[in-house]
Amino acid sequence: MSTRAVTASLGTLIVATAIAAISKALPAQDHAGKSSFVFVENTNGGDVSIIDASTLKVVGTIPVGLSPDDIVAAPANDVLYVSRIVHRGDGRPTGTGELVAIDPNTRQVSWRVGFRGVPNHLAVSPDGRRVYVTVVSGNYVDVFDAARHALIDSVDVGIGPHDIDVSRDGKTVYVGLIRGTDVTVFDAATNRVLRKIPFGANVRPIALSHDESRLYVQLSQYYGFVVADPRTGKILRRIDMPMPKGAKTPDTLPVTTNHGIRITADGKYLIANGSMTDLVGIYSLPDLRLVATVPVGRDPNWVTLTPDGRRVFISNRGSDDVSVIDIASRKEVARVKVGKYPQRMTSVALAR
Amino acid sequence: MGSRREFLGDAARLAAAAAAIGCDRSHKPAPLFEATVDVSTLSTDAASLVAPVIGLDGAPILVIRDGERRFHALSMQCTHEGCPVRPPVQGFITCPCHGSQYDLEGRVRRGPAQLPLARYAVEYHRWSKRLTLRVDS
Repeated sequence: MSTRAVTASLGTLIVATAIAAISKALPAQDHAGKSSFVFVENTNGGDVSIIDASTLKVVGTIPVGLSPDDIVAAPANDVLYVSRIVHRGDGRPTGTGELVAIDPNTRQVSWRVGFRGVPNHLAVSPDGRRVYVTVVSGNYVDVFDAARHALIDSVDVGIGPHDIDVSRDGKTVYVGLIRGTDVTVFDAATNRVLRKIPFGANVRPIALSHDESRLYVQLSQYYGFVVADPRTGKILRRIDMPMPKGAKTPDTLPVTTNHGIRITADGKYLIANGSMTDLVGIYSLPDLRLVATVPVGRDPNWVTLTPDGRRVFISNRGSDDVSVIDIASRKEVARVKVGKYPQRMTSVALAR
Repeated sequence: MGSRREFLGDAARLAAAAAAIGCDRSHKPAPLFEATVDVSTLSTDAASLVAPVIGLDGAPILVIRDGERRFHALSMQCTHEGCPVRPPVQGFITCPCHGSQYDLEGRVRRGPAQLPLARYAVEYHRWSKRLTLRVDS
């Protein structure tokens, strides 16, 4: 075994021991008789792992079919939606997708509907009536009626729609273009495009502030994130993320440099993944001061928060696990093994 | 390879033989996909065009000239997540979504894609400067 491998193993052992000690000391997380669960889609496993956010154990697995791409919860926490890229037997995409609905209480698939085009990310309107699916192979966002399980509109937003976010009042939808360089903003009532915000590079995950005054955007081949005013379209700041100690920024950055950015429920912190460097940056808001960097598993891909906002879950698709970070102590308190290639996650509060 | 006349002669003899023994299998089944594309504009090596047809997988087809009589026809659907790839630049076909790269024959040169681009069989018609793209059943 090489020196590097021994060092890595020792490091893993120390982290695992520390995590085990801290995990046992964690209090239960019941709130008004409900408990939080995090649902993690495993893209290469074709299933969804369920993590009990109190015990930090995997308590179930839901098969959905290969290549789920995103998972989101309806605001009432009564339905989970999964977008799925459908593949042929030879492993190539068919150019079609599926929207899969799951009942989080019974942990069963309730219904699924197919459509043309390759889906990526999802969003649900705050009233739960609309499900938005970005179709990255095309130039549109498909709008589904949640009650009728039916495609009711396609909104032309520009080439390669990828991540999507809806304002808290449900009036406005923001769509990042991975094959383009804009965030397209459309009106949720009319499904008409209002404006396009240029970022100069392919747009990756986006996060809209709760008051809709700021838009935080990760870009392909940029190790940081960009802050814009979503109403004026003005770029306000570019925040370079720190490299780990002793590491140099490579000459050529990978296309997926950073993936995963979210704001805590209380609006006090922005959590941004450094996917290239296996770390997470915690930034205070609104001043965007870096308050901590937390090393996590390999290739962190998504950020989700428990409803109480105390913990952050990070999916590490390169190491098939989920890092759990305590916001107050700014430390990783557990690393939970899940399925193959975990990417997107969502958290819900359910009756036990 | 023999001349076209010789080939046709062989085919005719085979057909006659098949008929003689009472099993008419002289014609091949219809291909799953067939289209003919004008490639007269592809006058230099590594020049490419997007064929004005939709392929078997629903994706556009990229036609690349890789020599005087050598052509490749590839599905433009990236085998990673299905994003449309870009025409070749400096010998590489790149997917704009996650950066997968393929060579002019569609072989993976950089991931995350693991499978080559789907290929179409090609037949170049030198005099008409047209290319037949085909997927046999």
